[in-house]
Amino acid sequence: MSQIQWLSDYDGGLQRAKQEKKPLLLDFFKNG
Amino acid sequence: MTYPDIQVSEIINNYFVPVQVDIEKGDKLADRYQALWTPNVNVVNHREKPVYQAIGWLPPSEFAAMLHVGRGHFFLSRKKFSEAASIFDEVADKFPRSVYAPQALYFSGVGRYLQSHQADDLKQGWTRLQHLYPASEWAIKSRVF
Repeated sequence: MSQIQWLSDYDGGLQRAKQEKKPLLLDFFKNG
Repeated sequence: MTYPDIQVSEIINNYFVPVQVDIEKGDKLADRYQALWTPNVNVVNHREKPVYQAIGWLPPSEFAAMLHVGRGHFFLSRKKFSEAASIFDEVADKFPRSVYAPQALYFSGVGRYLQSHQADDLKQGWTRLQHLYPASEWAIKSRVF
């Protein structure tokens, strides 16, 4: 199974997306 | 379960930088993206503009198609029209029964037109849409001609 490498840091993710020239996939979830 | 699906996880790992935020803890971010309900998935470009949003649960095959449509919109937002059109065509080819296939054909036509500025490119794509998915919302929208 290929695990998704989720980040929890939005700003860090955005920077990485810019560097890698990829779209950011922002997933909002609700606990419980 | 959608995220453990191997096709979905490979698409996400290969084509996106994935960030997960608790909607209650990240309420300012949720406000910015108008996220009121979950599941809520947003494709965001480098200018922090949301280019696609999907709300509600999807089974893995539909979620996979949706992710590619989101990619296509990302490339449209970057004015990489040919690349966008190719991605949209791939959705229609690989997921012909998906609810996202009609939208993919619509925006394939849009991408090709924006690249070429030739009305025939738009009409050709939309003719295929109208033929394959005549009752779809996107076929109805394409009947502007």
